[in-house]
Amino acid sequence: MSFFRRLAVAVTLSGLAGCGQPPAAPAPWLWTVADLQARAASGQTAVAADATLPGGIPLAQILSDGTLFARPSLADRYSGSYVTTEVWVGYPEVWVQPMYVPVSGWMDGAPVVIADPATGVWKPVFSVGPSSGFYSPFWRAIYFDAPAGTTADTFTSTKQILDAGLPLHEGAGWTIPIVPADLAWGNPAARLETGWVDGAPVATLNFGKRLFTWDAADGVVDEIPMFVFVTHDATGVRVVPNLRIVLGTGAVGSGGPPPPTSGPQPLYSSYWRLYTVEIPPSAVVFPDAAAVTSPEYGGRLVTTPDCLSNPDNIDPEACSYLDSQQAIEQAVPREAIRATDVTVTGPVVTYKNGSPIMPVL
Amino acid sequence: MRRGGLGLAMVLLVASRASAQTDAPADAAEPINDSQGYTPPAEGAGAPSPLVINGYVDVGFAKAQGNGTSFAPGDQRVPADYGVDPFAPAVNSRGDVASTDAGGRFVNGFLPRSAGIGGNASFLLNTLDVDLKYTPAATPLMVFSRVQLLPRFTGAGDDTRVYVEQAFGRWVPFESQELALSVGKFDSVFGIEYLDNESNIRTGVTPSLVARYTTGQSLGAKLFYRIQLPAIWSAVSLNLAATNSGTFVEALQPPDASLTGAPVGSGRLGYELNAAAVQVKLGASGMFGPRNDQGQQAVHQRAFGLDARVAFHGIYLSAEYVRVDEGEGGPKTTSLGTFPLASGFWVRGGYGQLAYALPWSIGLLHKLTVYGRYDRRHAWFQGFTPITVDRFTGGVRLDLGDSVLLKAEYVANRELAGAPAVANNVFTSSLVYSF
Repeated sequence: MSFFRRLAVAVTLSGLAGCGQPPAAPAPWLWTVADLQARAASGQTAVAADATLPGGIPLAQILSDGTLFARPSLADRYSGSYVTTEVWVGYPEVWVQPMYVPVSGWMDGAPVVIADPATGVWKPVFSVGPSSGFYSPFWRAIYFDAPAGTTADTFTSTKQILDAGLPLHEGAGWTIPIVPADLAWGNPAARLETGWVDGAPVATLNFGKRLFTWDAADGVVDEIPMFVFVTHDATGVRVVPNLRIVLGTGAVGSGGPPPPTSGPQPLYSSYWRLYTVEIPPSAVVFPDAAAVTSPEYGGRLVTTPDCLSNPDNIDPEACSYLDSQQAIEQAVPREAIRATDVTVTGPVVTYKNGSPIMPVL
Repeated sequence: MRRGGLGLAMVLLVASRASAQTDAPADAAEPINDSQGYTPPAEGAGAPSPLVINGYVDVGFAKAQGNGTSFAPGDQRVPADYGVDPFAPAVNSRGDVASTDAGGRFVNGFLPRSAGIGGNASFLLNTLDVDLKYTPAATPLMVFSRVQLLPRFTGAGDDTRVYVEQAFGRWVPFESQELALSVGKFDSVFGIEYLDNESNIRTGVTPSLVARYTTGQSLGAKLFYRIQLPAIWSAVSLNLAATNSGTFVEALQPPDASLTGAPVGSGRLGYELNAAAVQVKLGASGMFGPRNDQGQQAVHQRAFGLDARVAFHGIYLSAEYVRVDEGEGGPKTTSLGTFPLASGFWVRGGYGQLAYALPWSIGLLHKLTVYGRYDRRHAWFQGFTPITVDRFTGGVRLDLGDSVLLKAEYVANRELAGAPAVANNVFTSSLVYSF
């Protein structure tokens, strides 16, 4: 065997030697609204199907008729709904990113934001675009004192603003996903706006401020649990039945404190980690027949099925439902509540049996 | 950086070491001796020791502007190391920077090693290098190791390392051929800047802005072959390697283990013209294989480079262009730790350097060399703001006797696009004792 052939064999064998290695960790993945639309257009029916959430998230529960689907849910015992704008898989955490906003001055401590005269709405400069793995729709407003003559289109990139050396003032956290410009949207829970990323205009959905908190030291956005009920099929495989998701109001194990409010309106989180909840053996699904006359209870799990024998006595005073974080954590053992590797942006758009959520602007 | 850095107006000067830079296997610790002088017996009395110990001590003194990093005040983006060039404020030949302190902001592993001095002027013990070379008599084998002690202090305490930079055996199977096979941990084969890795060899102090992609040592096998074409005063060489991590520096990709189970191939095809009046060396390099900062074999990195060196009338000019593409992979692992995500990454960059050694010596001053270099780098992480930076470097080197070098240079960094301007220029110097 020639020297060169021996070398080639040695190199080949060194490559084969790696075949016995354990499989590599899967890549973390982020899907934005544009990614989700593209996935649906390609014929896919679910996202995060390889995650630890059985079956992933059906795309039909995210997108519908060219817009975002308001998925029915439960929170604090009431029916509500939320939309999904981002899905992360394999991200242990996501980070708040800065969003720069020009102001012409300050009035009683509040910034006087420079708006686009055509729309009367601001045009923030977002620091990270949606094609980055580190994009997040959770923005910390950084107001900067703009020089005279500044318009909403004067500053369009982070470099421009920082190089100008203007005074910066930190503000609240805003939930503003960057979305495709042609996204249909008519829900009052968010306002269609525009902004800038690296000098290019982008379309956004502004769900308002105060919908998340973050660690001031490292910028990590705090997670709130979203509970997904799971059971086992005849073959023992875990499956997700078509039940309403329950939105938490505090960290897992906290018992579900009341959410913060803005006036009478609750401010539910917009960032969630999905947790699977094993359905207790004693629980049953609220009967479809009864849901005809009491639709607000449809899709709920009842842990005291005996109460259903009296249709006039099914309210929460008589029946126990798994319809809040508090109820779940009281009725389900902690070991039956498991974190998945899926997190989502899910701003709540209705609450208390259909009342619309309005953005805090 | 502060504008108004040094222009290339500095006249740049030579490198008498131009002639010492050949395409010979760079891991050979000494130049090939082709003189016709006395040859001691290979064995027995009078034979040279088969074991040779060499090395150097590199003592630096540096002062960086600002806080010693490229992180701009007021920039809250994360990862902090994606929107700037953290490698810009280099203070020594290893590419260590004055600081990598991001002020608590999240970083994702695009970081050099840090000298930990921030914006303070400080002495540094950059490297204590010990080289062992063992050449058994009558055997076409050479065993070489390069172990380095790297005393460092960070804000969190002592961070000193003992680093095995090279350890390999080289076999030259045919006396009649310039063919060498090396197995172990050895220098890169990509481009030309790896030839200047060690501070006792490098003309200046700091590496270029693209050195991080081309000058890393790695573990694997390497083949060097050169054929002389005396009729046209030329030679053609080929240098090929299959290694764990390719040619990136260890701060970016760990060289000591394959994270994917598949090797990374790299190589350089070189041509050299050795005419009496001018020497020209040209090369084209490539690198392809899985990213070794994550675990998926299907996630590739590829690099392409061109290099040129010209020496004439005492002037030595070198230039290099590098293009790197990396796919998006899984969780990231570098020699500095683990990070959430190996983002897709692209860079195009290069440098040109001109040097001139004044043709006289006075007493202990054997040589005085002035040099200048211009670097430019355009890079972007997937979905992140593309950044363009450049750098002017100018300096002087004094060769004092045969074993002492004194070098001083000023590094003027500029952020041209994407990255916010920041004060990150550096004055640095290096006193190198060789033994």
